[in-house]
Amino acid sequence: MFDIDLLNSSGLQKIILRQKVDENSRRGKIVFSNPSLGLNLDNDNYNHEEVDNSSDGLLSYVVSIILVLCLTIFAFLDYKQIFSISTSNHSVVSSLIRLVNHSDARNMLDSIVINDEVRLTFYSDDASKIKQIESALDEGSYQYKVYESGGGYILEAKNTISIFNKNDQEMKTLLNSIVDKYDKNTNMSIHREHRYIKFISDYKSIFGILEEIINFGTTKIYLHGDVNSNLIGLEFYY
Amino acid sequence: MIGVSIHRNEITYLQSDKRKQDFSVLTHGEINYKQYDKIITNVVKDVANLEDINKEDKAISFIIDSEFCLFNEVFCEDDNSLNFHQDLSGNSRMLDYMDSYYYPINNRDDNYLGIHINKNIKSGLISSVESSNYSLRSIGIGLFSAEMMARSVFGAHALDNYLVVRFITSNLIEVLYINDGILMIYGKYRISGNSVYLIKAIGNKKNGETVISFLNHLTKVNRISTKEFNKVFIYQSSGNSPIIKKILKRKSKNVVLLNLFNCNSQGKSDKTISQTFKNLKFAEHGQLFRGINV
Repeated sequence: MFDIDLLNSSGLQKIILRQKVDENSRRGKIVFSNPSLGLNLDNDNYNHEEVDNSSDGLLSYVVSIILVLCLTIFAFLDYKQIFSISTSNHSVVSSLIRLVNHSDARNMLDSIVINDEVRLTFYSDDASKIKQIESALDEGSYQYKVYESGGGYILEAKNTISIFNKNDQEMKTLLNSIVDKYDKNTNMSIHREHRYIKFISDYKSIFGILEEIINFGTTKIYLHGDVNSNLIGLEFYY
Repeated sequence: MIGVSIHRNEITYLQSDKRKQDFSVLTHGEINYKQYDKIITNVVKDVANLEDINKEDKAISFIIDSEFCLFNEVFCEDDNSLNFHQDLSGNSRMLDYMDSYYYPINNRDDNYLGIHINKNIKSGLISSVESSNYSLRSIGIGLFSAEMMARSVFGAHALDNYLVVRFITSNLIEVLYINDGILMIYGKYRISGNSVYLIKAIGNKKNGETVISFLNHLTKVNRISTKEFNKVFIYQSSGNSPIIKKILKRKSKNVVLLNLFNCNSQGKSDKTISQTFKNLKFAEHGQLFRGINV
């Protein structure tokens, strides 16, 4: 079954293959922070069972104490180090490095766009090439689609990623530090405008930059020059 | 990400936060408008100003009611024959006013469901997002977004076939039937008395007969069950249908309400029928759950 998004280009939406969700992948869960907010409780005959609240008071008291204790402990911890937030970023960036090092997959690569999802687009005249892309990425959390387009096929791989917000000042500081770090590299080209920056350099430098900015805006990565070029471009805006 | 679902003169909003495989629903609620024409222009600003919304989150996703769209059925091989079809039927003039999308339906290669949206609605939504400094991530359609909810949250992706039934009102029904991952039927039906009448069915006609037969069963019988479909997912976006009350009263294993707030046994909130109906409206926020495996 297809996903409708009216922001896509209009016309025929020829989706001919969709990989099913991997039943063996880790199952997520839905957490409700505030499930009854904005809803009015009306009393009718749906549930006549009386709710026993007698133990709720004691339970909420115990939960409150545990919560306060946890908060106190967390206040003294560097939680950014403890929760390895970058783990999923790392696996995404590693998969992209594997991809650009895989000559067949790199030749098919059209674009890499990263915002709250990682969307990789490839163009090929053979739909079965999706298998090569899967093996190049070597990361189970991608979802794959194949669209027919013109005489060939658009192959798409998608993954999700966490997104965090920084204010303008924090973003400027982050980008300044990245520019300071890479500006002296002889094979680095940097172009910067308001809320936008573009880097062109070798794979190693570009993926190093990607790891620093991946969660904070929209990133586009494209191959620079011909297929034999070792240069890669990264555009970032927020 | 903030999801905003627009239905007639009301909107529901739901703010979510996706971290790896887990998904948090941070807040949700609804806003009613007295004037229809103010919804599209004001909705982003109004949602952004709500106290319970996390103001740091600047990503927004719209779900519009299918009643804002026109649906038709097209048989064509490719873009060229689509253009020929449109020229022949006079639909090409419609392109000045509508954006048209054609999705595969049925197990024939040439059968498409045409979905047409007024360009003014789409551009109105885009400009209201841009003027509020938000970033628009997607525009979905209510019933199709609810199907995503069934797929991502209620395990429909693992089923051979399933039916998604939306009560637009208590006597107007819209359905999608998916078989082996392929959309087979989009249908719209009217209930009058104890009978169901077809308004529009696009796709596989044989499956259409099975669907209408089930809908008749739904209206006539007290103990609802199905052998034709692996599962039936039902929700209502407006009103309180007696059929849904019937389902609540006599629970069935394979006829399931698309109640997000009961999906993982956190259904403490549903103490009343009216609250269940309010919660069912949030089924159309399914596109926020795209790609998760719950």
